[in-house]
Amino acid sequence: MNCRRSPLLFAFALALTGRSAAAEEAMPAWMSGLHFSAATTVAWTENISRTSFEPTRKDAATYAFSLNASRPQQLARNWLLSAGADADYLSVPDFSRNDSVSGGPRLGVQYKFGLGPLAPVLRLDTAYNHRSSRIAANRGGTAEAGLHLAKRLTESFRLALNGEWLEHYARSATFDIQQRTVSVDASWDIDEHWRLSGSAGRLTGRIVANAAPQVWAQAISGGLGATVFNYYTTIPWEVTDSYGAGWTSYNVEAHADLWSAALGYSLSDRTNLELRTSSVFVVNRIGIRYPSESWGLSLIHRF
Amino acid sequence: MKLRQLLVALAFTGSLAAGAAAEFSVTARNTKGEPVADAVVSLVPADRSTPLPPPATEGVIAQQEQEFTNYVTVVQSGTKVVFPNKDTVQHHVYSLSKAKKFELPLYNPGSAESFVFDAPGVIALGCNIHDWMLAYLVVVPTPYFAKTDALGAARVNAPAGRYHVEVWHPRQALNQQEDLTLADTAVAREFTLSLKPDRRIRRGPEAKAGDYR
Repeated sequence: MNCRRSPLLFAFALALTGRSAAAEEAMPAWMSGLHFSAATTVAWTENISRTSFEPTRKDAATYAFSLNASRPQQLARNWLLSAGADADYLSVPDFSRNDSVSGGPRLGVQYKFGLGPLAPVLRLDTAYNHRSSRIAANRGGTAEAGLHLAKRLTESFRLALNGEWLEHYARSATFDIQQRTVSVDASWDIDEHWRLSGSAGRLTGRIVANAAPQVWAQAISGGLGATVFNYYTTIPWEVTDSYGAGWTSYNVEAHADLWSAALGYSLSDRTNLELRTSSVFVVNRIGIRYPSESWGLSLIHRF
Repeated sequence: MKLRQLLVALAFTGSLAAGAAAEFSVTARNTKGEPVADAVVSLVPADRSTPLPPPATEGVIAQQEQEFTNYVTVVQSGTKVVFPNKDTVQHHVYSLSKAKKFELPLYNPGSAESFVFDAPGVIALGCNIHDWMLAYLVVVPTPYFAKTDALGAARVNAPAGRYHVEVWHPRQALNQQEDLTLADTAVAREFTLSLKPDRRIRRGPEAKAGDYR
C-alpha cells in the first residue's frame, strides 16, 4: 500500500494488524500519535418511522458501524487540542431507503481546570460530516458544535453537562434541520468491568417525521382538522417512500425529550460491550406527539 | 565521585559478606488467601549510627502505550529517577504528593527528564492528558527493600541486625509494621493485607448515546 496516497488507511491497517517498529518508522510523524477505534451496534427501534398515527408506526432492526480516528496534542499546560475523523454506516434492512453513509473531520479543544482526574474539564467540539443517503433529498453536509463541562466526583463517578448545536444542509429543504440540545449525562464504574450510565436531554429545533400515504393525504386536505392543515401545508415535505410505497417525509419544528440508560461490560482495556435503551418523546409545534424507543447492543474496540 | 561510590558499594558488599547477610522472605496475601503483587517490603535498620550505602542505580518509570511501564517502583532515598517518554504521544506527567510535587507538561515522545528523590514517602504519579494512567514511586530510607511479584513473594538480603519492617501496598489503608532481628539464618514471614477495592479509572472505550436527527 502506498502510504502517501492513502496514509489514513495505511495507519488504520497497521492498527488492525498490530504495528511493527519498522512499519511505524515508515509513517509520517503526525500519524504516529493517531488513535483508532471502531464500534458496531445492532438495535431494535420501535416507531423508527417517527409516525404520530399509531396504527401505521413501523418498527425495525438497524445495524450501524463506525470508525474513528483521533490525535490529541497538548498546546499548553491545561489546553489540549484533538483532531480526528469519523466514518459511519447505517443499515435498515427492512426499510433500506434509510440506509446512509457519512463521514468527516472533527476538531476539539479542551481546558482542564487543574491537575488530576477529578479536575473539571471544559471541551468545545466541532465536526463536519457529509452524508450520502439512499434518499437523495437527504444528502448533504452536517455541521455540529458542542460545549461540554465534565467532572469526576470520584474516580468512578462522572457527570457532564452538554450543549450541542447541529445544522444539516440537505439537497431538499424537507431534510434541512437545525437543532439545539441540552443534556446531562452520568456514568458510574461499578467495578473494573461493569459501568452504568445514563443521560437526559431536551432537543429543540427542526426534525424530520414521516407519514403513511393515507394519513398524509388527510392531513393536507383538512381531514385531520384546521390546525394540522394550516401548519402542514406550510412546511417542506415530499414523497420519499421512506417506510413504504408512498410514504411522505416532512419537516417540522418540535422539541423532543431524550432519555437513555446503558449497562457496559469491559471485556478488556480495549474492548467494551454495551446494552443501551433509549427513549425519545417528540412534541411538534402544533402539539402532535409520538414516542420512539430503541434497544441496542454495541461492541466498541480501541486499537 | 564515581570512584568514591564504587568503593562504598564494595565496602558494603564486603560488610554483607563479613556480617553474614541473612535473607528475609516475605509472602503477601489478601484476606481471601490470594497472592498480592506490588507490595513493598522495606527493612530500616534500627541502629541509625551506621551510614547506609548510597543508591547504586537509578530508577526508571517510562510512559509507553499510554500507561506507566511500572505500577509500583521502589527506590532508596537519594535515587535519581528518570521518566522517559517512550510513547508515540505527548504526556503530562505530574505528582501532587507531599514527598515530591512536580509536573512535566508538553512532555513529548523521546523526552527523558529526571529528578532526585531525597525524602522518603510515596509519590503518586498521573498523566493530566490520560486520566487512567497511575503509578506509585515508593522512596524508602534504606537499601534493603523488595517488591512482591505475581506470586506475592519477595526476598530482601540484609546484614544481621535489628530492623523495622514495613509493608506498603497502594490499596492498603495502613502499612503493616513489625520489628525484626535478622541473624545468620533465613527468616520468612507471611503478611495478610486488607485491601480496598481497585478503583483505578477505567481506560476502556465508550459508546456514545444516540442522537435524534
